[in-house]
Amino acid sequence: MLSAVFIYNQKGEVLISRLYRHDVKRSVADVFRVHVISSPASVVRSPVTTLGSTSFFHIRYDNLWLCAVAKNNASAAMVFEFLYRLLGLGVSYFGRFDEEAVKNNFVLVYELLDEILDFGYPQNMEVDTLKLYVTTESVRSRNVVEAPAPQSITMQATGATTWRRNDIVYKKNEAFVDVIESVNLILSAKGTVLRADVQGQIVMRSFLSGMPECKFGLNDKLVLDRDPASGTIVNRSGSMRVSGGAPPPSRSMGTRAGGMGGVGDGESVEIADCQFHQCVRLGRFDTDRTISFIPPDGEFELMRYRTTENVNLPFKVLPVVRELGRSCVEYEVLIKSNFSAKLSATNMVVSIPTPPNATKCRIKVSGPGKAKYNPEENAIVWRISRFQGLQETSLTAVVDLAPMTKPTPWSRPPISLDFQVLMFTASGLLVRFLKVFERSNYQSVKWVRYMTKAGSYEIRI
Amino acid sequence: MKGLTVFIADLRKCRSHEDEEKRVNKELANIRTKFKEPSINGYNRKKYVCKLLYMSLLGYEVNFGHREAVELVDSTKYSEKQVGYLAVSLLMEDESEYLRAVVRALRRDMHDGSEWIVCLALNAISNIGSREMAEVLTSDIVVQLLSPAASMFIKKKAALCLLRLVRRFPEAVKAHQWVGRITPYLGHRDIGVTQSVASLMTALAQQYPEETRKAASFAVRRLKSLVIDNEYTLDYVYYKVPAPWLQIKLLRLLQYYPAPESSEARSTLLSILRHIIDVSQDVPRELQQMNAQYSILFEAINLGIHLDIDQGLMQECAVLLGRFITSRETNVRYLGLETMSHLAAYIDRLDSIKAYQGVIVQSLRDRDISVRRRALDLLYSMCDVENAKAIVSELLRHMAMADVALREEMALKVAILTEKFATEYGWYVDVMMRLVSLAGDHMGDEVWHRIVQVILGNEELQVYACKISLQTLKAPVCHESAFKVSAYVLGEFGHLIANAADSAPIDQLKALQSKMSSTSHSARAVALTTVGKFINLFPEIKTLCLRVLDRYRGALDAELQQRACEYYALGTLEGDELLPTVFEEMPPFPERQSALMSRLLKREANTEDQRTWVVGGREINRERRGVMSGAASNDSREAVEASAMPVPAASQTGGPAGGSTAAPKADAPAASSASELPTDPSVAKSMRNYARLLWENDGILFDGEEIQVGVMAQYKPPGGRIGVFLGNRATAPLYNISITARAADGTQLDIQPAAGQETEQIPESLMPLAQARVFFDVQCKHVFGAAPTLHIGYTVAGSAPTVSELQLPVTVGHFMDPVTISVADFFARWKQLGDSGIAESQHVLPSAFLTKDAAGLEWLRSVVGGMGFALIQGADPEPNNIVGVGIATTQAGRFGCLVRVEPKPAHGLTRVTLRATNAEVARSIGSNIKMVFESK
Repeated sequence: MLSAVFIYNQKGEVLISRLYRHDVKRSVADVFRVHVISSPASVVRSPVTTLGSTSFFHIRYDNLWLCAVAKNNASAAMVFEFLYRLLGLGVSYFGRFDEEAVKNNFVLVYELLDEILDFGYPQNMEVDTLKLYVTTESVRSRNVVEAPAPQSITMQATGATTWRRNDIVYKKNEAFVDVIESVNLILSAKGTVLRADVQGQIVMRSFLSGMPECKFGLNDKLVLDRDPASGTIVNRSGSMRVSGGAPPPSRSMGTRAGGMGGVGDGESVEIADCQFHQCVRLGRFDTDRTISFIPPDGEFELMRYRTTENVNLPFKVLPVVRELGRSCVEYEVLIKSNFSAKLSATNMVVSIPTPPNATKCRIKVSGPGKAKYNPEENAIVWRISRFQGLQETSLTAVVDLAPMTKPTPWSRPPISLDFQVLMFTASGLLVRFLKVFERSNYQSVKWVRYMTKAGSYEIRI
Repeated sequence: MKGLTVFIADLRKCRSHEDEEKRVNKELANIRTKFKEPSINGYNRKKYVCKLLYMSLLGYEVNFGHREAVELVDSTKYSEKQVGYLAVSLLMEDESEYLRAVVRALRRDMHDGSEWIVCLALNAISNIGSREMAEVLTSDIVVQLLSPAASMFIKKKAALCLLRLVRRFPEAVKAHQWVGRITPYLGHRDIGVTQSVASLMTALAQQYPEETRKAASFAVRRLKSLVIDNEYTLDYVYYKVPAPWLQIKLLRLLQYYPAPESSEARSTLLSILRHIIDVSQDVPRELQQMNAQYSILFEAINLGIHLDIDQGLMQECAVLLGRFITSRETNVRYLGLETMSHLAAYIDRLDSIKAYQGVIVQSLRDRDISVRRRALDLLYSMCDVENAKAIVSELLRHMAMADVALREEMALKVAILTEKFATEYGWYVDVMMRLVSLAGDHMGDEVWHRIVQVILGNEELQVYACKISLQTLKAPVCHESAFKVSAYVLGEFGHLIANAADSAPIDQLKALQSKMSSTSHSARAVALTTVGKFINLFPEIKTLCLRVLDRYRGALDAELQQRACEYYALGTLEGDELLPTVFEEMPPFPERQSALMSRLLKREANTEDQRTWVVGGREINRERRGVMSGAASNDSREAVEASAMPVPAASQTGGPAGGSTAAPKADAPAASSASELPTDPSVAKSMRNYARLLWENDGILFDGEEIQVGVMAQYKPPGGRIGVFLGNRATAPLYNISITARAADGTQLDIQPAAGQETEQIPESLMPLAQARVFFDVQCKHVFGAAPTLHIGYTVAGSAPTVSELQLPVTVGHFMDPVTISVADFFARWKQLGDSGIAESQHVLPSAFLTKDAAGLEWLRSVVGGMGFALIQGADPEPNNIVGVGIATTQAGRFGCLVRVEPKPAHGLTRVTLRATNAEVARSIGSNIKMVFESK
């Protein structure tokens, strides 16, 4: 298991050094610095570096290096899970997890490290639980505030639901569900799809009293195919709301979200690679694919998933690039939005690469957006702040080239797009229901929001 | 240039590589647009080219701006020109098309009035140093160097610039054309100029020892004025030593020449050396002065050793060196040891060095590895029969502690020394066995192969070797190489000790088996062969041997499996003829150069200046010297042959009075006809080759230092095809090769390149040891007298084109078919032709070879047969006489030819009589036979 955890700043200075076992010396921190941090940037750094019998696992975040050291054959996946959890803890404790935060709170960081690892074995890493007894307040104030009885902490830390206290009370019981998808695409110059997939994330914020039991339903193909009648459940549950932008157009889920442009045209979705928060009962999911859980309080990531079939591409790009001799290149780029006219994409940036020897660009945009030549990136950058659905815009440009001493052909890198579309899911995923059962049987209000972002959205030219 | 400083500051401020790249991209785009504007002024152009240079230095690719750089070069302002040349030398590659424009600008600047501009140009040439510059600008640089108007500053730069070009393109600068003119500059009054020229001459001396010969006397004179007459300015005194660098360079330069012939020059040189040695007797206080003085001294000692003219001086050197190798300074120890191995390589009596043997052995344990290495070299060089045992045992003792890097070399050297100086067989075997056990991991297979070869070659060694081998196998630990040697030796000679105590066949097999399991596959393979041999040697243990083989029949390694299966099959075969045949005793290996030696020599690295000696004993250096002087004289001969300046070359040797008579003589090898034999040995050799080809179709025609020409001919009278093979024997590639053949009279003989072969068959360049070939078709139209000539032109790197003219062995005699006729017919024709009298040719030739034995007669027969005659047996009453008949076929007609050869061994004479239907045929074949006899 882990022998030590180190946190370095960008220069490689050790900020935090915590040893858990006696099989390493404190000086191994220097070994990692010399071999990994100080090695030239051109060298590809592997996240796992094994020097002699010692393995160093590291991740970089902001201006920090988080490094775990293991002498024995530790499971690398587990070590990285631990490191990312540590990162999450830091973020939730300090807001930002950077050199400054670590320096200002290093007592707290050591306290956390003491708590989450014991003799190198990871322990409870739930933020909520940890926040019960590892607090940011000073020692004095903690004495004044009624500290939870040690017994209840023990109960909490060793009980069935370590991630939730049982004494939470809210006046208004609400739950927010955000479906965030990023779509990756590579399109060949001829317009055929070479790769298209969607990586999705469902984030939930729960403000529910007591120990609520939640059930969550998606238009998962496996569920729908097995139980075609299940669609009716939605009608019965009836209290789900959809939140678009602000103000949320309160709309019942029972209407099957008919107004939501791209989302939910009744199709079911094939979901691959589901990954759940630990609160989800995996046994239930494995047997009948129902997602049931007792949610932690506040924000958490309920699940991640990936789909590769039937991806709804939000934009069609038709580029024509002609190299006229060695002195000039002509561009004609046409972009069509491929979602409901009621929706719109925001913060759209199209980056059209130019040859490295471009001198002057004459650009004309017909339609929304502004474009200009950005020599720093060797690209024409075309920004469109708002782009309605079922609309099109085009750009024509003539780029003059400077003569080169040794004519080398242009590598023609792809055009890349960046955008955000609200209330649209590229995978077609749809939240069918979210049911909350609690002993006190209170009414709860639920909100759903969808968003699609560009991952790496590239069109070859 | 504020823009440049701002830009550099911007880049310095960038925190990450990505930021820097963005800034660079932005600037590149900016410069591209700026360069597109037609009205850009010189200042801006300079600024932007500077920025480009900076980016290029940071590692970014700069793919434009070369034109602007060239424009800057053309500018009249000094600062712009400077930046332009800087950019050109940094940004341009050798094959850039802009370089042509640069060369033009350089040529103009070279003749500029301002010496600053000339300097810029010279600097640029040195920095770029492209081939084109070497070809076009060399003459201009030489002019600058020789021009009386040029300042010292320019002369220095010009000399160094030439040095760079000579080093880079030795063949393009045509140094032989101007080297003679710059040699006197070694005596220039300005020390700086002399020093630069000395560097240049050192480089040239290695390539043109002949042309630069005069440099030696200039160097001696200059050294004399510097060392003895104290003619120098105070600027050049470095810590009280006058111009140490110049002294060192001149001393080094002199090492490329043999000792001067005139006694006056010798005594001058000796007095210089003695002076240097005397001056160094008092040890200076200051470190820098000591360094300077010692470097001069070491170079002087090296020169003294090289000249080898005064024994007293050498002994004194040895004493001095003995002091140095005990010095406390590591550098001095190093140099002392190195110079002493140089001394050991030349000195006749090693006694003076042997006095320091203890110290040298001590140096093997020096702290510094390079000192240890030199000590090893020295021990190797100074080894002879007397001290071999001591040195070898010291080296072996040291082997265990030596660095891994040094061990392989040490092992090789021990192996060579032991073999070379072994006086007792036992000692050799003992040492070698210990060597393979100690250092087996650090040496190649050559060492153990060599041991086996030696043992196989010396019968006296074998019994002892067997005993030792068995002991080795029985020892608790046995190194793999030692195991291989032992296994091999026992397999060959195990029977020799089979009757001794504890060496019975069964003991041998058991010893072998006990070690076999712990060795590698290659060693086991050797052992399996030994077991196979045991079956043959000791039939009594055959079943045991077969059991061993049987176990390996299923081995996973293919080699082991194959051996085991085959030996097993041999052992179980019915009948007992095959086994003894297969496992017959190995014959001794033929003597050849030891693989160890070649491996050791291969380790010598190729450094900038050639060394004048190699590490090793006297013999190897003597040999080297012999080869080198041979090459030199051969070069000079070829230079004469090239007939570029035959008259001066001749007058050099023959003096002014003999000039007129010497001139035709120098031309002789080229124009010599078949009948007259020049006295030059190499020409005589090529004559012999030629004569041999008169009666043989294939063979070597010319065998020179640089090329070898072979001929392969097929005749189908009246036609034929001749293949000419050109082999490169030089160490450098040959260029511009041309091979043409021309008949003396086109109406009689037609010779032209064979149809159907492409002209590209002659490659542009011929690598060392490579071969090119050309075929010619010949048609004999009529009887002809003179053989056609073959012209072979080529250029060796670093010398003028050479044209060799050779005679192709194509005579009318080659177009002759043998005809068999009866004895009676023969005499009828013989008489008939004899009566006419005109077409007869008779020679009485001295033939010393006949007296020795019957082989001479045999040879005679094969010559006559080879010339195309059918020999008629028993025609002549005298059994030794040879008679033959042939018909020469030309397009104009066929001519019969009869020959009668009457050898008289008692007198050492042979009478050859030819009668033919054509007088010319008889004459030509007669002279052919005569030539064959003369060159026998």
